[in-house]
Amino acid sequence: MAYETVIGLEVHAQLLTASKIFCGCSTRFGAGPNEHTCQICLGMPGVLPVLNRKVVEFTIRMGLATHCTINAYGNFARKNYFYPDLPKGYQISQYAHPLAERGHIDILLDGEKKRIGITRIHMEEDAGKLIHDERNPWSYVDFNRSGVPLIEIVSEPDMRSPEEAAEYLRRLRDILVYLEICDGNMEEGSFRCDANVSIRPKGQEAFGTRTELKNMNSFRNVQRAIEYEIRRQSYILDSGGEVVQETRLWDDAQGQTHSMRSKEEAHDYRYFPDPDLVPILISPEWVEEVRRTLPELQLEKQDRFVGQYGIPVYDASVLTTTRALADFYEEAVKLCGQPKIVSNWVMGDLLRYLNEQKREIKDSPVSPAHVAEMINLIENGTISGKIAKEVFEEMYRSSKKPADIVREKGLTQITDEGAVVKAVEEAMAKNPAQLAEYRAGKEKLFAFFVGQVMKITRGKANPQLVNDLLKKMLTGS
Amino acid sequence: MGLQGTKRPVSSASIRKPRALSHFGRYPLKITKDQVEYVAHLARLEFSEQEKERFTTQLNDILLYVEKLNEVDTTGVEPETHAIALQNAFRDDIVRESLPHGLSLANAPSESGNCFRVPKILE
Repeated sequence: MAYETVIGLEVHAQLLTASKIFCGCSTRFGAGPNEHTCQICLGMPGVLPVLNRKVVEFTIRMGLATHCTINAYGNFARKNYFYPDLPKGYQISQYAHPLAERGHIDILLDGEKKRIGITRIHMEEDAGKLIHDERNPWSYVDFNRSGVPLIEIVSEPDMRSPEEAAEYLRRLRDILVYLEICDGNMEEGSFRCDANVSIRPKGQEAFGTRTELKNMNSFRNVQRAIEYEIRRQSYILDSGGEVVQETRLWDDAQGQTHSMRSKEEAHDYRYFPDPDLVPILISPEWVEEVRRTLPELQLEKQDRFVGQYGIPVYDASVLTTTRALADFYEEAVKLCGQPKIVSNWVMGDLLRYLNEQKREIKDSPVSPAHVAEMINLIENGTISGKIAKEVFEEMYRSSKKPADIVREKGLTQITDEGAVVKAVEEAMAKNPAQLAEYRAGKEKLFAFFVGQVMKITRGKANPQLVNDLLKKMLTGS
Repeated sequence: MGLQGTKRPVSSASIRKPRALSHFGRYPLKITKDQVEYVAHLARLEFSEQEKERFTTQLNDILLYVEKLNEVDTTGVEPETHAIALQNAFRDDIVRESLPHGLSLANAPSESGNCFRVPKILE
């Protein structure tokens, strides 16, 4: 039978604040176990949590960037359950009154735009981290992460394929990173995703029974887990069975989802307003203040790059992947005025070197000024495009200025006709057999002679000049 | 005294001694033994049959007492979750010192390698 897939995603994003959501402990990653803990995030009795204002501001930012309504009234609720990573026996979250609701983002897939609804965005605290003992019946709890601020972004069940789900996630992450409120690192857990997946016969209005998938720590795994789940549910329905509503864990090694059959499946969180935290009233003025500080988002920037610099949509989409890369590009263009050429060098050589070493653009040894200067050297004929590759590599290695590299290595292009004529003569004299073959009609040997001349001039000869002279001299005319 | 014939202010009406038994006729028992068992399970508590009966009675008594609040006229009063009229209590995003090394685990029943040690929970 033909089925349609229905997917909704719940994303948890860790906010880039310096301190935790309800106490002054540091959120910095990498401290020793329990070093960033205090009475509040350890859930000791009698303490009073106080909300970090920046968490509210960051959440408003995300709400605005995803076209949500920012609610004028918000509060916190206690979500009650027992687990060793939760010291208080409840997680402070938002329930009846989330900060933002009813928004959307647009995704692009195969050139088609699709709108995915955002149900709500709310603030909450993260739990601690459990380390399980491999040999003994113990687990070890580190509460450094307890109280680190998160936002949960819940989508409408608007996605119809694993590809759409993955694309939605990428867009969501891009927005968070652009807003500089989350580092978007899925492997390290600062950007996490649970997926609600169901299938229904094509044409049917009512949703099928859904399962909730957890434990996917990369975009690829989200897609794989959903693909697996669709196959699993289709198989069950095709053989006359019924899908059970449950939570399933993705097993990366086996490429399967497994039922999380624990007694605690029947959750009853008994939410109630947290009496320790007072209501949050968000004035229109506050919302406007945050709106004014919103940066240009990726799709807007991409459109602007296409219009302003006349580069292809593909180039613009790559160059706007991060704000830092887009800023790098614009700075270089400003300095040399060659949008498409800068794009080629940044997308080609620079990103290749950076990716090889898994380096971020902010750590690039090559500056926008370097790139612009090198392009100017090509434009004014000092070096050829081929030599520029060598200059770029050296520039990346040593962070030296391109003009210095050209001078030190003697890479200045040979544009003197006499010098190139000499090199052509030498190439012809050294290869009489090839010359005879060429003159007998084997024209593809032309490239061979270009190579020979370049070899003799150590790549420095002006390519156009080499071409022109070879055409003339090889035929003997 | 001068209270006769005047409307009582809401604040003084809210706390009065319960009129005890007369309420049993007006409000049925609200908590059943099943519910006590359910809540006990959620709280990971185990009780004897005797205790369950006792807690059922006690919880009902508490509810009855709180029922008194229903006698207050709250027309035009917005539901509140706090007794004090305070909003937007924020702190700035400034890192303060955490507990000194070792103190975090001072109350831990069991510890290992600066972590709290707990029985393993398998999913």
